[in-house]
Amino acid sequence: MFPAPMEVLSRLNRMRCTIRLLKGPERRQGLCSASGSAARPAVVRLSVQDATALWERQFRQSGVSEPSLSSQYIMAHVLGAKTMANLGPDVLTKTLTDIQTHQFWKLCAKRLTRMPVQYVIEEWDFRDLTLKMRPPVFIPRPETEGVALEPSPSACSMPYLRAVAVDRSAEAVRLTQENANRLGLQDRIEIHQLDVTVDAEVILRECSRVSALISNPPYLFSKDMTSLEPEIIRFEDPAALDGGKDGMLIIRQILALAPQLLTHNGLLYLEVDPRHPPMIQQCVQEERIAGLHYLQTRYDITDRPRFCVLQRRGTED
Amino acid sequence: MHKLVRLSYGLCPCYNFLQTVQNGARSTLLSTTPKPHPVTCLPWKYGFTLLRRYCDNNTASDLLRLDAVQRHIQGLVSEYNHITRRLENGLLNDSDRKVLNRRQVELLPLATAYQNTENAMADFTEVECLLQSGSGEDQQMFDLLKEEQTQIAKRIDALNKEVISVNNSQIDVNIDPKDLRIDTFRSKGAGGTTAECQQSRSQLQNRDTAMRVLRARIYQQMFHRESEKRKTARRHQVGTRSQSDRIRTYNFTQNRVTDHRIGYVTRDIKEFLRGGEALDELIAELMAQADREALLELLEQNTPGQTIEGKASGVQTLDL
Repeated sequence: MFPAPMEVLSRLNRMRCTIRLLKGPERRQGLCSASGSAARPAVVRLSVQDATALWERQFRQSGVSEPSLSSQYIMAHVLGAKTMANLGPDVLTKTLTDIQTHQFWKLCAKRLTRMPVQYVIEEWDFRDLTLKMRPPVFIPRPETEGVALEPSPSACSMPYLRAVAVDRSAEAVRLTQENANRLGLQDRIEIHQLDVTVDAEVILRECSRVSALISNPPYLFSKDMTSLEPEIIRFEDPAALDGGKDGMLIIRQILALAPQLLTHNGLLYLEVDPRHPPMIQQCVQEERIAGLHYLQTRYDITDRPRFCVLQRRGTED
Repeated sequence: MHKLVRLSYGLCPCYNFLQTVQNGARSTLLSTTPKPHPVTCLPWKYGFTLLRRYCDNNTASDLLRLDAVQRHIQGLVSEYNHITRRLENGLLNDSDRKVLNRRQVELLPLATAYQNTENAMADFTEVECLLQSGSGEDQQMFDLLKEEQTQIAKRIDALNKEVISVNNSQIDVNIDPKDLRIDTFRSKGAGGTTAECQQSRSQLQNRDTAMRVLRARIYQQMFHRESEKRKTARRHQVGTRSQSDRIRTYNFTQNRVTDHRIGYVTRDIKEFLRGGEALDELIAELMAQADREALLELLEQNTPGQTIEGKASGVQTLDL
C-alpha cells in the first residue's frame, strides 16, 4: 500500500528537495509509516506543494474518492486554515516542520482507509458555523444547508430562537451538546436522547409545542444501503441512514406526531429521498392526519426534490 | 456621481438622457409588459411648431422632436401606466409587487413631467384657438391671451427640460440567473466575468461570497465602460489637433468669426473676444451639436427592431 522507502527517496531526489539523512534506527523507518504504528517518518524536508502532491497521487492510486481535495483539505487543516485558498499562494513553497509533516502523514493515512475527510480532521463547515465531527455521528450534507433557509437563516443570527433537539443516538446527543457549548448556544437548545419510533409519549410529554419542526431523518431505502460509498458504509451510523423498506419508517412516525408537536399553523420541514414527496403527499391525504397540510416540495442545489414543507392547520391549539 | 462627471466634462444635462436611452433599453421589464403602442405624436409636433416662435434654440425641444426619443418616452410612460394598473389589480405575490413598486417609483417623475407637459400643451392650444377665433375683438383681450401664451410656452419649456433630466442614470447590476454558470470545484474559468471562491468549506457560503464578488466586478466593468464612453465623447470634441483640423477662423478684414465644426458665423470680433453674449451663444450651439451627435449615434446602435434584454454582456462564470 505504501511506496517503498527507497522509491520515495529517489522520487524526492528528482524533486530536488534537501534530504537530511539520519543515522541509526530512524533511518530504517520508512517515510510512510502504517497508520497503526506510532513510528515517526524519517526527517525529510518537504514543501507544502510536494507533500500535497505526493499524497494526492497516493490517494488516486488507491482509488480514494476526491484525491486532490482530500489532500488539500487535510494540508490546510494541518497548517491551521480551513482551505488552501485562505493561506495565499506563497504557502506552497514553504517547508513543512517536523510536527506538521508527522501530522499530515498521520491524517492522510486515515484518509487512505476511506475515512471521510470530516472525520479525519474532526470538523467541518455548515453554512457560517464550524462544527465538530466524530464517527459514527452522521455528517451534515451540503444540500441540507439549503433547507434551513426558510425558518431561520441560522440559530446564531436570530437570538430569540430556542430549540429542542432529539436523537436516538447517545453519541449524536453528546456531540450536539459539545457543539452547542462551543458556540455558546447551550442556553438556547435542549438536547434529548429519544427515539421518535418508541418514545413518542415521552416526547409529547417533555416537549411543548413548537412553531417549526425540522428533520433530516433516516430516509434511505434499505435496499440502497449496500450501494453506498465506503466512506458512508464503514464509518457512519447506519441507524442514521436506514429508513426501512420504503425509507418512510421514521418519516411516517414524524408525520403522525407533528400535529401534536406543532403550534397552530406551525411548519414541518423534512429532508427526504427524491422519491418521497409524492409518497408523503399520498400519506397525508389518505390517512387524513388531523390538520396536516402538504404545502410544497423544494429542490436542492442539484435540482432534485428533497424537501417537503407541511403545515399544521387545526382549529384548536 | 454622474452629476460630478457631467460637470467636469462640460456636457449638458441632456447627457443624462443619453444614459437613460441606454439604460432604459437595458433595464429588465417584466415579461408580461406589452410593447409600447404606436406613438401619437400629434400634440408634441403641433406644440413644437408653435414653440419655435417663442423659445430660444432649445436643446431639449430639439431632442424631443426626434422620433426615437419620443418613442422612448412614450414607452416608459406606458410602462408606468401598465405597472400602476397591475399594482391596483392586487393579484400579485410579494416579490413581484416589490419589483413593480420599485420600478413605479423610478418612473414616477417622468410620468408626472410628461402629464404636466400634456396639460400645458392642451392649455396652449386652447389659448391659441381663442386668439385665432377672437381676432376681431378688443385689444386688451388679445394682449392678455398673448401673455398667457408666453407663460404657457415657458412652462412647456421647463417641463421639457424636466422630462429629459428626470431620467437619471443608474448603473443597476441585474444578474439574470440564466446568464450565470456555476461550476463547483472548477479551477479555470472560461471567458467572461468570473468570481472564484474557495474560502469556506460550506458550498453555500462560497456561492454567496462569489455572487457578491461577481456583482462587484460587473459593477466595476460597467462603470469602466461608462467612463470609457465619456472619454471618447470628449475626444470627439477635442479632435485631432492637426494643422488642417481647424475649428475656428478669425477674419479681421471682414470682421467675422467662423466656427467650422457647426458652420456658425458671427460678426464683431471685438465683442466675441470680450467673451460676451456672442461667445456664450457659440458655446451653447456647440454643446447642442455634440449632444445631438452622441444621441444619434446611440440611437443608431439600438436600432428600433431589436429588443435589448437586461443582462450583463458576455458570459458570466462563477467559480466556486
